Amino acid sequence: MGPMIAEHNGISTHRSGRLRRNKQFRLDAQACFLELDQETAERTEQMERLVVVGRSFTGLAHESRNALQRGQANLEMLSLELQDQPELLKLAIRAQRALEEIHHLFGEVRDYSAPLHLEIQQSDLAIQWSQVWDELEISHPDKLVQFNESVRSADTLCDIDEFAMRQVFRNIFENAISACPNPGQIDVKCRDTELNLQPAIEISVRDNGPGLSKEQIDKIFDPFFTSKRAGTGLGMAIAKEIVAAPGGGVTARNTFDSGAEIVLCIPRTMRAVSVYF
Amino acid sequence: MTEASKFQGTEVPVCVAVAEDEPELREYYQRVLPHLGYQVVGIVENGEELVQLCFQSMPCVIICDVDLQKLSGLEAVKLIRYRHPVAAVYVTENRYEDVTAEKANRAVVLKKPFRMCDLKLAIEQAMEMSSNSSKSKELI
Repeated sequence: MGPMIAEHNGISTHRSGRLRRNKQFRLDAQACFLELDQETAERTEQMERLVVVGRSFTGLAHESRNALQRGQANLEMLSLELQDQPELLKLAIRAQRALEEIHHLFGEVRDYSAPLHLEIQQSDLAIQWSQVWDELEISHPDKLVQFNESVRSADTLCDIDEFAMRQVFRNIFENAISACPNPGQIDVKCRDTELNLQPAIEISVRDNGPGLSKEQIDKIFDPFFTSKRAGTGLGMAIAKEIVAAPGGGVTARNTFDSGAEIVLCIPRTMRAVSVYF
Repeated sequence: MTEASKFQGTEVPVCVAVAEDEPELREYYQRVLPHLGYQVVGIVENGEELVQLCFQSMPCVIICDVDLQKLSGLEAVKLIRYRHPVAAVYVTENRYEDVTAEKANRAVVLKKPFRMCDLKLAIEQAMEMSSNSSKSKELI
């Protein structure tokens, strides 16, 4: 009987210890779940808040276009009146540049937040990049950059969305112009290639700037990554989304001598797609 | 010779008609277009007035907002083009207008905010587009 009691007692002791531990475990688990619930709720609330902020900011970026235009128009008229007063003209030009910077930042937010819908048609890529270059040449009067084209491909015709493709070239050229010394040089080369066994076109944009660091090569297409003093870091992310949507690709690397190179690979034949970020 | 007339290969300045509902921007066009070498035939506030102005003055280029009172910019240009060929620049200020204008035929879309140099380039592109379109019609 003694051992039985002892055994009983033993079991009893063992059981009561296990029960206490189980109870403790349940309490710990409950506390843990409560904490997780609270954390999840806080995170959800934070996400919801960010969505609202994102929507409001996108709305603001859109609605600001008319106000920015009025500011720009008045400053340009003022500049015309101040042609013979260089000191005052300098101030008006500075104000204009500040407005342009705000416009550029808002523009990137607008482009990144908008759903991407590509209307594919056969078009000449060389015409698209030349048109963008003409626009950028005017926008950077204080920087002398030589633009060289070398088209080894039989033709530069490709199935693209012209508007979106111009945006890709604009974002890549803008980066290249910023990286170039003054005077600088940008080379665009083009050749036939294959992508997933399908005919494709490869376009390389090289600048003669200092080149890219390892971090820049790894992250250049990440949204909000920027090494510039001013910028949202969305330009190259937008370019990647546009090229990737119908199955193309874009990479960044350094050239053998110096400078950075962005290489686009675009399938010759694409289909219309809608991509919502 | 002005930049604009050089483009056409003539010393007669290119005539431009404008429709814009913002008073500040009407003043801007009035000041800036002659500076760029264009002759302003009139600046009006709505689509109906634009049609009347263009029927009277037959400009080479129209610069107009997409969203105009009484008659939209796109409808006005369509009506004017029944009478005579004209180069068109549509000025847009929001995403809806961007999409609408980009679908329009034979026109250049100029998004607000733009600068004087963007305006000049848009007019030149619209004129080139219009001239190419007339040439292809002649070939047909």
